[in-house]
Amino acid sequence: MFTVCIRYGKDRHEAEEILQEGFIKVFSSLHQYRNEGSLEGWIRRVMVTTALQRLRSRPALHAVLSVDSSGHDVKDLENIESSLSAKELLTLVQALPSAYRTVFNLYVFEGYKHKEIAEALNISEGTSKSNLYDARQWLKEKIKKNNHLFNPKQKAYER
Amino acid sequence: MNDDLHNIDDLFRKGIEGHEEDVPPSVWEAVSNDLDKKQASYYKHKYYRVKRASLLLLLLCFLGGVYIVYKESPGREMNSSAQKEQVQTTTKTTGRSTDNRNTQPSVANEESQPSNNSKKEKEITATNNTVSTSALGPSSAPKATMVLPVENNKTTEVAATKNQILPSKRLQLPTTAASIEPSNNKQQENKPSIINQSVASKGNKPLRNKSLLAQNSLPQDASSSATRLPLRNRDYAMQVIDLKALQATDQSILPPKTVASKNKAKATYGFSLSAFAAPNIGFDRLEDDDHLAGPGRNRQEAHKQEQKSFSFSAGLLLGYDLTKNLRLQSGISVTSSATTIAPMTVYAKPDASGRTHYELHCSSGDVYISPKGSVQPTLGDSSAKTSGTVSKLTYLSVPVALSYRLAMGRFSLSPSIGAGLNFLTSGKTKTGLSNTTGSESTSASITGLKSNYVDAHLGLGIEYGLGKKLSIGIRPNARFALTPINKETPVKSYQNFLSVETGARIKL
Repeated sequence: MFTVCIRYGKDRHEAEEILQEGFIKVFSSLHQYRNEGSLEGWIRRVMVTTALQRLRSRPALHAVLSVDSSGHDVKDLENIESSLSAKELLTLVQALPSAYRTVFNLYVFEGYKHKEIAEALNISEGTSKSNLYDARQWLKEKIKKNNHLFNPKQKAYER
Repeated sequence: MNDDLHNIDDLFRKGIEGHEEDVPPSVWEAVSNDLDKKQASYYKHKYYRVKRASLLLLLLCFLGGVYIVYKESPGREMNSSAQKEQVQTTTKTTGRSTDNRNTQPSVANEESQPSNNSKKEKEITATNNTVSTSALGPSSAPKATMVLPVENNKTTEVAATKNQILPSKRLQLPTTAASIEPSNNKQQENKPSIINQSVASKGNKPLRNKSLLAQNSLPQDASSSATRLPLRNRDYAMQVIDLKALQATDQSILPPKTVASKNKAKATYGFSLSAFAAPNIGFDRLEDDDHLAGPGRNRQEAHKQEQKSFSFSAGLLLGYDLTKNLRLQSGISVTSSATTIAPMTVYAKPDASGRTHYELHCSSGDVYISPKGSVQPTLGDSSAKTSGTVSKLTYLSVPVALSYRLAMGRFSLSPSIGAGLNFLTSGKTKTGLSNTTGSESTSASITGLKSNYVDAHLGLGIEYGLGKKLSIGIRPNARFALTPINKETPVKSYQNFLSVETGARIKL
């Protein structure tokens, strides 16, 4: 669950807050769990909802940054894939701007459709699609830029 | 390119899937502490009602105590205690309870008599037989002369009391007595009646003669009651009438006229009309709804953002005196209260009908604000800042209160307890809205408010009588809401007020 919270929080501290708040809700609302589906799934949903509620109390969840997507070659993405650890990937997700991160998390990890994301975040479907696209672009750029950090050969060389 | 984008999704999904992070122990400690606090808060709210009920009960007990103390105070009814003593004496001397049914001499009564009072003991012995003697018939009455020493006052008091307290039961005396004593009891035949003693002690004349003399001075009703009697009982009734006559001839032996009886004659029970006005100090009690409250929408947030600013009450009450001290009051009053809400950012949200407005949350409910300008908010994409937000609630109340009056000269204290049904007449919020298109002032209704709520009142009125009919006063008053003013909202709000009402009352 902490991993889920890390994905939604902008840093580890916020993730801890989400986790704390989420578990308080879990314990105080345990009677609402109807034994339909797994308990883990229910707790996960509570955590996601808690994270979204925190986000809703912040300024609007729409376009924040312009992503420079001017022709970086991403053909070597597959090569990078194997070299990235889960922790590094989590760091990248956390580094995403809030609006992108939320949409990316909901779409990629929770399996929400754009319509559902739009309803959950009170944004338009177009905004959701746009945010997801921008999030992906942003991540690719980051991976490319920081490739030397993630490249094992380079790391070995540095050592 | 599109494939790469999906690759990115897979890269992250697969890479992070199954990854576990260690949770710092401080998080679990914080969860545990928060849960404890939440539980404490739950019990605090749960027992708040119990506390409130206990407080009401205590107040009722206090009022009851005050009533009893006041009722039994010696200054209130001098004769009340005198009557009681006399009734006791009568009971002892006649060996009967006050209802004249227990005709057997009471051992307990005799035992309760002071042991060193030999005269009284003799009196008791004598009078225990008195009824029997009386029961034997009027023929024995003339024989009653000063046989035993009896204090004049005591005996006449007994007589007076009998005459005063038990007028309706006078006629039962011979019947009851006759029923228990055989007529051929010679030993008792010679014993004098205490009633006869009293007569004898006054004039040393036989009862028969005295009663005949006194009959002329009897009040009409007394003599008529005697004449209505069947022939058999008339002589016994005559004895009683004779005692009344005795009282009439000697005022000094009469018990003092009671203050109560005087007051009763003067007391005017009726209606009174009072008008009052008061500034209130409002303090709302907020409770989180278990299902709807969440981050940004809970009582802590509401407490932070809201502040009671102005409140007043005014009304007219009609009072009815149930007794000399107890008054029932009801009428109509208006209570208006205002709450200032701190500036905040509001977002476009759909209301119940699906229309998009800026949604403002407050402890009273939700407010959907529509800007007057042509540019309307669009769902999810618009936000605005509020400033100078004030929510105003106005209620029409129908209070019912019971007050107990403690008179102290021109002043009087009236602790009161009651309840009120409050009907919502207006619930609006005014706010200044500023967004990219400009700023404007707008107002909107508060949704989620209930049409009515119930509250309890506790007050202590202090009145000063300006004349027979007019009085002015102040009343520190507390009003506690028993039901929330809103429903289906994240925060349940209970309106409480403290006030000092000033007003005037006129007897109608």
